[in-house]
Amino acid sequence: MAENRDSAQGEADRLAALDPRQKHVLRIRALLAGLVPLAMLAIGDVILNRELGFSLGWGIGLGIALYLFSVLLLPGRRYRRWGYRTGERAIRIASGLLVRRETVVPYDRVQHIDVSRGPIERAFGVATLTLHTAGSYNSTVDLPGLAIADANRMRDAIRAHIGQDLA
Amino acid sequence: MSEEPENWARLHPATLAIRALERLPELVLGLPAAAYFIGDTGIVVALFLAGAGLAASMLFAFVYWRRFTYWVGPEQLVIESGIVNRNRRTIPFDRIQDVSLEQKLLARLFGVSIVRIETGSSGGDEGELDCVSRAEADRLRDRIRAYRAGNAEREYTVDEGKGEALPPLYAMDFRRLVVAGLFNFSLVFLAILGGVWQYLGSYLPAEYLDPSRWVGAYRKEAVGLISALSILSFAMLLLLVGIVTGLMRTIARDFGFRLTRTETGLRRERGLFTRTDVVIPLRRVQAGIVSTGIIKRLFGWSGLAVQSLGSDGNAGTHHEVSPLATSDELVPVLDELSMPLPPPARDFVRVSPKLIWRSWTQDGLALGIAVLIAAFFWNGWPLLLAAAPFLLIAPLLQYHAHGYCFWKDVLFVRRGFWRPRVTILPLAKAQSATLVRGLTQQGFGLATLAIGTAGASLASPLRILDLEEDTARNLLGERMLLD
Repeated sequence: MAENRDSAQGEADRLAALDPRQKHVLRIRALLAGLVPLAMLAIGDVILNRELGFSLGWGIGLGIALYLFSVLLLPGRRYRRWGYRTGERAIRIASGLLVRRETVVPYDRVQHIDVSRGPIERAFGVATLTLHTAGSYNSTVDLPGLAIADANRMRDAIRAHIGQDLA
Repeated sequence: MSEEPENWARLHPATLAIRALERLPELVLGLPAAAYFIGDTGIVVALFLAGAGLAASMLFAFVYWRRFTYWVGPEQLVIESGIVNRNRRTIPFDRIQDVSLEQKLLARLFGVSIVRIETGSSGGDEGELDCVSRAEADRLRDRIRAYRAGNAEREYTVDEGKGEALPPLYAMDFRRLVVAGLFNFSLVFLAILGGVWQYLGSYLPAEYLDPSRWVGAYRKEAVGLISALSILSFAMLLLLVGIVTGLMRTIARDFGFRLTRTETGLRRERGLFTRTDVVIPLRRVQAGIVSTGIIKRLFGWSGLAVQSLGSDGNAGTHHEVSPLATSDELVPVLDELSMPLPPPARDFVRVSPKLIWRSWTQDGLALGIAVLIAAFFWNGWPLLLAAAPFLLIAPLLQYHAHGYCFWKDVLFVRRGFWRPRVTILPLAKAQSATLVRGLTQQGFGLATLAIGTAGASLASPLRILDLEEDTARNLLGERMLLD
């Protein structure tokens, strides 16, 4: 009972960080996801230049600036906002850069658990743990960036909890 | 699979008559359209086509009826249907969550009823018998209930007799119905009128419905009509229409409202024309919602609905179990749900008063940006400022109406100024909890606690807005983990 009391003091410092390799995963995702908006801004640049006589380079300049920001700076910050802690009865997961979220899921409310690995995650040896609850809000809670061994261990531990509660 | 059922049953033959009668209005309404397309050759051809259409659809209905059979086994219900593609569905009694009966007006005249069988699986796997005789419907339901009761190792007395003997948990007499109707002011009638107008509009020459034509032709009269008196009487008329519509809708929906206890849940019967009979299994009830209105509250009235796990997975349903009741009348119903009556408003803990400042900041910024953008395109942008008084007042009202309260293992959350409502959530039914801090909230040191419950609508999860961050974190840690 008392072990949760300390949760009131500070958040990020008491939470475990994700696997550092997750930073690379986030960066590569940003690298790929930014390509489409970048291309659109480049096309917009040309159109604005031809149709309305804007000088060339405004759109693409803005695009490159945003792209660099999202690839170089954002992934590190987002990575630092993530954290988790597995308590005795529940798991706590924090995330979010602008809107910050901190979710608590008691183990006995978990319906089922997924461990998934996309191609980028596979390349870096990390996995995403997804908890499914019966609630319509938070029906799935993701915890990305776990070393594959950790993810499997946590899945088994939570599954053991579910089993205990049923018995 | 192994045992081949010997006594397959068909749906009640009256089903066919009901089908035919249901189709008639469509045909009658469709006639003008048909006549319009066919032109001068006229009504005879249209009538012939309509008759042929009716005959074809009746033939189809008949074949479908012939090919639809069901069998009530000792442990399962088997339904075979389909004209070309035969489909055989087996529903084990163990999996049945809910058996509800529905009688529309026509069905009542013929003494038949639709039986809906809901299983826990997500969608699709449900059974519907449309329609069987009322006696058959009762027999089927009793059989399923008896099986389930026996399986749960309870006393195997079919409780139909017992159920009749027990007084209902809640019932509405006609007086109560009228009172409820008076509170359900509704202008839906105007929407229906608009719909009819549009429907007719597609058949009448366009200029008949063009208001400018009428105003143009009778300009002098039109101007003369618009006086203070006429506006007043028009408002009175709207009021009257609203009240009458509300009354009629309420009476049609809630006539003969009766809530009784069955061995697994609450049974609700209601309806004047369409009579429905629904059992809400207690196991699937997730939360209770006591709602009232700003005027209703003065008279001590409130309504109770339960949030129940939907039969189709995530989509939950709210069942009204007492539309209009006093607190004393709610107690026996809440007792069955193992829920306490919400405490009086003064016992609720207020959220942080900074909610007001947070809203003002956020709304002010939003309004400022909207005005800035509008000023570029639209001369009428100062009109946007008319929203300011509302934005100023709304957070004050919201703050005063909002609060939460814990009692044993139950959380109460109070919200809404015009339509105050209290959600009663046994913490054992809370699935997860999230602390959310938006940008403005971070500035004020506030946090919103959002609680995931099963069967809630996605658009409005249970939230306690703008708590002090420490308080919110405490609730998240202490209350949600240690239920």
